[in-house]
Amino acid sequence: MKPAFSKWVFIVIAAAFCFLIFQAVKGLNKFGEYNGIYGVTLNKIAVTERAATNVVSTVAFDYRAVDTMGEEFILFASIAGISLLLRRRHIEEEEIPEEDLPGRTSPDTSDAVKVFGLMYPGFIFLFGAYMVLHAHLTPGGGFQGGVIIASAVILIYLASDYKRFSSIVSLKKLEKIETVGLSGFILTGIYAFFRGDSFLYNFLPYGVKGSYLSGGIILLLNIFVGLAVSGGIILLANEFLEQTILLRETRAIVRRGSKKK
Amino acid sequence: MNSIPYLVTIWLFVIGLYGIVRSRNLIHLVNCLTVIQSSTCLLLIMIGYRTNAAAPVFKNLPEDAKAVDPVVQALTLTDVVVGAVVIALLLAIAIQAHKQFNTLDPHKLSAMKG
Repeated sequence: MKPAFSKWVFIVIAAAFCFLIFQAVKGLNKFGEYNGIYGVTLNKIAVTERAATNVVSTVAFDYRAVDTMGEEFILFASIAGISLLLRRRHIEEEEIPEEDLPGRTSPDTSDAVKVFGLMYPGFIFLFGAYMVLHAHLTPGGGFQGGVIIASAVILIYLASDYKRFSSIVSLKKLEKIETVGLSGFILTGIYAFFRGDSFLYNFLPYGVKGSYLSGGIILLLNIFVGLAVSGGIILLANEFLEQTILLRETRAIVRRGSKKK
Repeated sequence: MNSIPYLVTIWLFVIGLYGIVRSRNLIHLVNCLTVIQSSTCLLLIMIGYRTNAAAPVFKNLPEDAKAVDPVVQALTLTDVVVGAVVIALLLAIAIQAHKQFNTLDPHKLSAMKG
């Protein structure tokens, strides 16, 4: 199909789609007047029932914690799939990367990036840990905090190079951290069985509203999710970095070896 | 005036779809998918909005304060996480496609190699 033709086909179909979806949207509540019964009920009872002040966390890690477990498994499956897709293959080492062609040198990391990469990881890590550990009180959560912690570690790569990054970050430990996070979540859920409750029932004491140790297992589950997500995202980033940097290095070594012959 | 947020969602969805249809680069195509995903996030957040209501965090609020819907916000969290991992997986597939065919143009990927 010619590009210009496909453009017009798209415009016609998109116009029809817009018309239909606009008809569908017209039947919805007006913006700002939503009155869904679940949300209203949860806003009324969640704080008194569980003593945690962040109702979004209470929904995600208590009332619908099974969904969050599914989410964690999606993350895990995706990381497993990516490491399978980006595994090292034999034929790859025969290609020559463009950067390694004679007469081409890559520029050094700029001083500004180095300085900020050294300054910020500590602060960002602290902020991520705060997001994880205060999820039941203020806006935050294990997923968000985990990603922030991972970005602090990735800044180390940005400021230095991949060799130093891989010497600081131990992949085996990261895998262990992810395993602890995932299995901790499930074991917390299973532990409720031994008390005669249902899966992921909030079995810890709820505490006083607004105090740090409140909300029962919400804090515990958030810590586990934070561990799993931060480990998982760093593994994910490492998989991509390895693909672009390490494989090319081995290719370059193969090339240099063949030159000597 | 009340339908403007819905229009924004539809616009984001359609413009992302247009990008996917007209894309000549797989990385660009994945970026267009993030635009579509952000339209679904916006729709969820927007549906739960209530005028003059606070966020559903009762740290400094009385317990009977009017707050927006927490269920759709928890759903948006799922949406964001699933969106992020799908994009990571698609980028990995793009890398493999580039290795296999030496191009990122989706129109040239269909050529069979045998």
